[in-house]
Formats: sequence, C-alpha cells, structure tokens
Amino acid sequence: MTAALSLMIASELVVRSLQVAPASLDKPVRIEVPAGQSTRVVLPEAAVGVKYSPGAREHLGLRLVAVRPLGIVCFLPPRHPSKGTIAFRGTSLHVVFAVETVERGQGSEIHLTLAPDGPAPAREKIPKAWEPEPAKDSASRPGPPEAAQATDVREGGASLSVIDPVSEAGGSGEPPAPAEALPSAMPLVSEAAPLGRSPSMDLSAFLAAEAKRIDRSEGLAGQRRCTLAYLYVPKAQADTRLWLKFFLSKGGLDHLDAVEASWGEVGEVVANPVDKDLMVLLQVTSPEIHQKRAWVELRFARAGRYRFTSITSPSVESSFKSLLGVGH
Amino acid sequence: MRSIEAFAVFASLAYAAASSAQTNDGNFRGWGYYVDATAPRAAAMGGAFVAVTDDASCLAWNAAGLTTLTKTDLQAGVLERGSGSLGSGDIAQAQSAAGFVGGGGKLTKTIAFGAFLMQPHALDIDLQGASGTSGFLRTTVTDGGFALAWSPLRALHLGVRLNVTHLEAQGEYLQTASGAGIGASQASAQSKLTGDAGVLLRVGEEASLGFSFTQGARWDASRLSESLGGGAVSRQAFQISSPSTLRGGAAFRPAPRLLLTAEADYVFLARLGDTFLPVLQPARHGDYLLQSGIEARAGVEVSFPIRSAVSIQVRGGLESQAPAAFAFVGQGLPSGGSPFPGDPRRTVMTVGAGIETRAVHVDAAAALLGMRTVLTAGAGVRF
Repeated sequence: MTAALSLMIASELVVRSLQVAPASLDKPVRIEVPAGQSTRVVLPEAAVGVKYSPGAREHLGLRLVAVRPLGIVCFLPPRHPSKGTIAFRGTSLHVVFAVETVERGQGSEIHLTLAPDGPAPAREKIPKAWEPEPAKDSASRPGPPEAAQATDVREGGASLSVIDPVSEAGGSGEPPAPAEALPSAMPLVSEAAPLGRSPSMDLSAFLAAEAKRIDRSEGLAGQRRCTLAYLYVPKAQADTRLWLKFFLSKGGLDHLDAVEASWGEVGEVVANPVDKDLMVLLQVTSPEIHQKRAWVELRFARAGRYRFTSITSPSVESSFKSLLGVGH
Repeated sequence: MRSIEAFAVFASLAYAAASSAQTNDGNFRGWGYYVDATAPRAAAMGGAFVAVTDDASCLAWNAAGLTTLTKTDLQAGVLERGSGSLGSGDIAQAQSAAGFVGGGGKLTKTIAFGAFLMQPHALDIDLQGASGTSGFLRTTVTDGGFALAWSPLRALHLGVRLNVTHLEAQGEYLQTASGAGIGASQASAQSKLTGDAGVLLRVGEEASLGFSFTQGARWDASRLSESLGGGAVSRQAFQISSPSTLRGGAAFRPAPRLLLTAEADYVFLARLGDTFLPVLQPARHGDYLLQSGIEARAGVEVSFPIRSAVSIQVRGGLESQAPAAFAFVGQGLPSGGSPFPGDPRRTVMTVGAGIETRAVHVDAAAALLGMRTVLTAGAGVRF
C-alpha cells in the first residue's frame, strides 16, 4: 500500500471518485481522458491481469504505473480523437474500461470504487476476459468495435499483457519462438509472487525497448532450468536502462524470493506466471550489468538459486569472455 | 630366429594394398570389435546416450546434440579396462588409456562446434589353451576429429562429424602342434577418415529423440607367414574392420531430478565378414560367420541438487551387447588353424555417479558383468 499511496501523494492531479455498482461491471465503464493530459485510474485492488485493445497503448498513451497493492494505470493521449479498451482483472473483480479521448480538459486521478449496494462477484464467477472470447461474444460486446487483443509480450514491442496462469496450454519450459502465437493476455503480477517493488519499474519504457533473444540457461542437474530469454535495450542511446526477462521452467507455482546482483539488490522486479513457467523481469542499468564480473542471482522459494554471469547468448566466445569477466 | 626376423619384416608392410578383412589366423579366434563408452556419464547409463542433450560427450554418439549445449563444455577422462575372458577362452589383458577428451560450444545461436579424442576400442589378447599354440593380438583404435551441428528449428538439431580413426595392430601366431608348424604375424598402423551424421529432435523440454549413423572403417594390414619347417615366407595384405552403427533412442525427463534413456543400435557386424580372409587352408569364406546384431541399451540418472550449489547424481544402466567375434561353422578346421567359437551375447550392467557445481562436474562409471570390467572417470568444466 505504501508504494501506491506515495504515488498518489506525489500526484498533483485532481482526484475524482468513480463509483460503480458491481452488478454493472459486466458492461464497460466509460472514461474520458483529455488529450495531452495525464489521467490516472486507480483500481480498488491489485491488478493480476490486464488486456487492452490493439493500438490502445500508443493512441491513449497507456502506461501501467502499479499492479500492487492497487492497480494503477495512466493515460496520456498524444492526440484526439482516440479510443480503446482496457480490461483489468483484479483479485476479486473484473472491469473493462472504454476509454475515449476528449479534446480539452484537465488531467485527473480517478479512483474506482464499488458501490455498497451489492457484493463483488465471486472470483470464480468472474468472466475471464483475458481469455480469447468467441467471435459471437466479441461481436455482441458493447464498447469500441475492435476486439481486445494483446500483442506478443515476449518479442519486440511487448504488450503489457501476459498469459493466463491457469491456462493449461503451452508450458514448454522455455520461451516460445518469436513467431509463436500467444494467448491474448496474462496477469501482470502473480498473487503468489510476493514482490511489491514492481511499481518502480518503467514498463512503458520496457514496452518500447528492442528485444534481443539471449537464451542463456542456468541450473544444476536436478534443478528446474532458468533461462535468460530476452534482453530489452531502449532505443534511445541516452537511456542506460536494460530489462532482463527470465523464465523458470515449470515454475509457475514457485515464488521469487529475492533478486541480488553483484552491485547490490535489484529493486525493479516483476514476477508473473506464464503458462507453467514463472517469468521474471528485471530492470537494471547498463553500467551496472556491464561491470567486470557482474552477476545477477535469482532466488526462488522452491527451485533455489540461479546465478547469471553473462547476459549474452551462450557461445564459445562469450564463454571465454565470461570466464575472464569481461564483455558482458 | 629366422621366423623372428621374418616377423620383423612385416612392420614395414603396414600400408600394403587392401584385399580382405581379418584372417583366420589363430590369434583372431577370440577377437571382436568391442567398443567401450569412453565418457563416464554415458558409460554409467548403459551407453544409451544418442538422445541425451546438453553434454559435450554427445560427440561420441550424436553430434547433433552439440546445439543443445547451454554452455561451453570441456571434458577429459581416463579409462581402465580390466582383464577378461573372451569366448575363445583367451585372456584380454588389462589396459589403461585416456578416456573421452573433448568439448563443444556454440559458435552462434544455431551453430555449434566440437572436437574430441578418444579410444573406443582396445584389446590385448594373449592366446591360451592347447599346447603348441601361442601368440597375441593387440588392436587399439583411436578416434579424433571435430563436429559441427546446426539447429534450423528450436526442436530440430542436425550434426555431422569428421573422424580420423587410427588403428594400431600387432599380432603373432605360432602353431607348432601339427606338422611342421606355422608362424604368422600381422600388423597395421593406419588412419582412415570417416563421416558420421546425427539428428536430434526435442519434444518439449522433457523429451528428445536421437538418431545417428557412425561409419565403420577398414584399415589395411599386412600378414607375414612362413612354415616353421623352413618353408617360404609369404606376404599377404588384408584388412581389419570396424562396423558401422545405426543408433536410435529417446531421452525423457519426467521430473527435473530424473532422466530416463533408451537406445537401440543396429551394428553392421556382417560387414566385417564380407572380406574375411581365410589364409589358413582349407577353408572357405563362408566357414566364418558373424551376423549383424541389435544392441539394446537403457539408462537412468537421478539428481539430488543440494542448496543450489552442488548436485549429486546417481546413474545406472543395462546394455545387451551383440556377439562381436567370428564363429567357425565349417566342416573341419584348416591346417594349423584354431577353432573360432564365436562370442555369446552379453548383458552388461553399468553404474556410476557424478557431482557437479555450477562450473565443474566430476563423473565415474563402471561397466560390470561384461567380457571385462571397464572403469571410467572424468571431469569437465562448463562456462
């Protein structure tokens, strides 16, 4: 709660409250956001899944600010008119926002609250919007005509969406090939992943970064394999941040306990189940990771420790450089 | 003395023209092309290794596995072959040698390279039995070469291996029990280039299928013989052969700590009979029989990671070895010849253990109940 509160306190936006009856959550909640202004939407609970329509991130300037303890998303539309949908799956509710830009207005912070006239629907009865819907349902659904589709989270310009952790599909134990089709959405932070540090991660910059496939695996015999699948490099040369995406094979039910590095603790961490795997996303800086003999160590509750001493693809050349502690 | 001098002469005939495979001299009566797994991890798993991934010793079984290496892997080991009894009743002497020495790593994301040196075959036979018959036969095959593997798809791995296979052979056979007696000696020291190929298919992360073909070789050898009663010295060229092998197998990891492997090899042993040279007469080519056979292998590996720092591995396996020695099936032994009783199918039990850290692994294995006990040990680094 502290992280989210600090964000709110730091905000100079006008705070508004948007009260919604739980019974009406099966319909999209309409929100208008002024072009060129920041509009922040605060959910009443943590976000464990998110899904948005094609182009919404770019057209609405969508940025996920926090997922725990409260889900917070920010819109900064670069131009008017634009519209899109964004669906949140919380720990107990599911809500779809139909977002449209308005030409003028003032940025605000919208706190979504549930009206007390009815209990929130039980979780198991919540429609799983992060699952692809049948075509007939999509056609009859109110809101913008475009179907909510997420783009590939693991390659190139990844979306915020990730794969449904309860899905039985996939579970390959290693990152899928870039061309593979992925389910349309996934939760951003596992309820099982006790990491509350993700609000400080700049996911919007991560989403704009260029992905480079690494495929460097660690793990002793008998351990699950942990793979550094991708390195994300920002397009702006002045930006020294890097993102490392790991997958713990068949570790979807595991917990990430800690992340340490040779330069100290890594605070910017997101951990999510993806299929049967556990995905870990770290935000580091280039000067840190390129130090001589730099390493990053992931500690999982069940699978144990995995230390990565190189962030390059495994090769004879990189092996010797790693051995010598140079050329990360 | 004259015969000894004559025996010394044939050493210069090592590169004589090829004409046929092994002879029916008595010192070949128990000889077979026995192959030992030279890498301890594979040896401990019954040699069922054609589909195993992420181990540089795949170079000995299936070069396609190179592109499954997650790190550069360098290994070196030793091999101790114990003494044993052949089907002929002759004794195979104990021998020590270097085991698998090699390594591999990725050059790019899809191409990997490996190099190796190993001694898959070594046999030092002392003839035993009837008085008037004596001799020995020593054959050692050393393989060395390099391999390239390519992974066009994440699930598909292809590999080729170029192998320089070198035979050192020396033998002597004296038969003084009948007539004037004969003396014969054989020698070879030749290298041949062979090519091998393999395919590995990964079925998810837990399973893989492997197939490979290992080409056999034929080395030129020379034979020098004379009648011990003062007959003329004669020279003959022949060949000593190793069989080609077609391998197919699977590896399955139902849990991170458990690896199961199985493999069936078709060994083209009949190829050795194609050019069998019955130098002692009377005998016909078809009097000596060696059939191609299937060798079945299975292995299991259980790993116990401890505090993410060390992993202890226990391995076991079974191997059914096809008969590798010729059997005489003719009507009567040639003059001065010895019976070739053939070789029984043998079941070999293998056990082993290993310990690994993030960068170092040490392994040991024993193959028991076979023609002889074979011990292997090795260490490697992954970085």
